[in-house]
Amino acid sequence: MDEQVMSEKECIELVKSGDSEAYSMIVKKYMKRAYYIAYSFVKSEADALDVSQDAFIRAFRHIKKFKPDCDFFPWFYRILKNLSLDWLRKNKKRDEIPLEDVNIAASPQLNEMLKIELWKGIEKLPLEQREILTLRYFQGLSYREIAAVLEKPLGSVMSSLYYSKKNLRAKMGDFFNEARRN
Amino acid sequence: MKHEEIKTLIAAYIEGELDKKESLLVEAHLRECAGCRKECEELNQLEEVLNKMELRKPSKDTWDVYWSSVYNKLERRIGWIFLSLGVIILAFWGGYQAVEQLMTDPDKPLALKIGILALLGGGIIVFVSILREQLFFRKKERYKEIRR
Repeated sequence: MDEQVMSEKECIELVKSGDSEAYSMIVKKYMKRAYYIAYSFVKSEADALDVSQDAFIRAFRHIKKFKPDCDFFPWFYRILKNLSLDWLRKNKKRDEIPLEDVNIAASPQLNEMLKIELWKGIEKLPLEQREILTLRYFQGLSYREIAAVLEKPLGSVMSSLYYSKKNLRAKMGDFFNEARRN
Repeated sequence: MKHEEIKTLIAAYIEGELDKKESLLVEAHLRECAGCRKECEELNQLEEVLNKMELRKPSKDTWDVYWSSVYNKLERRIGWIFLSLGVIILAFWGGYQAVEQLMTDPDKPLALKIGILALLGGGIIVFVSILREQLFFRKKERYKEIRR
């Protein structure tokens, strides 16, 4: 792990001196994560690619301001989130992520309606709650990683996730129990 | 720990994100509190479904060309900066030459010279005003916070 951290820091130092090859390693490491985070905001594959790539370009341009004792991703995440929010302001908000874009891993005991209701429930959540659920379930970040990315205390992440799930469960109402019974 | 505080730990308990001491606290509370037990069960069901959910993955090609797209965009932006700079320098030089020629030509009427000077003066004022506004805006710019 330490070796990974060291190599990333070394990479950043090279990027600061203008080495684009070193930056390609950083981009390749975080591109998928950046894409899915942007997707959760802009809700379209093409726009998520654009926004996430623009975030990497902006990060490259500002890389000299990045402090070497910090982790790259939480710093990058702020740029990505700001660009995603800017995109939402400039463009008409998409109300829903197309349902065909959502995969629930093959599971015969989950019916199609449950998938739809679950997705509708997530869509209705406030942006902050959707954001934290995305980091946790689509990105698979641990609580500590989420705390680092969102720059929040661990306890605050725990309670945010609790309230997000509770809210989601409430939005799905009795449907959840009925769907599971069927 | 109060009831409400323990409640907020339930989601983390289900996901195994608590340390031993916190887990024991939650378990002890769940044994006593039927309301929290029910909530724990409901969140557990939700957890099962959430863990099975994922967004469709873009094609492999997307990732293969991702970096080259970033690189091309970066390169093109640098190209645009130089291109714009060149246009600005040439426009200023051409404008300066044209104005100088006009002003030093004794055959040109005075009204034309005054008109050109007024035009230039107005242009400079508008330019400075926009520049000042942009600089002021930049002070409040959102991305300023990325400096850490």
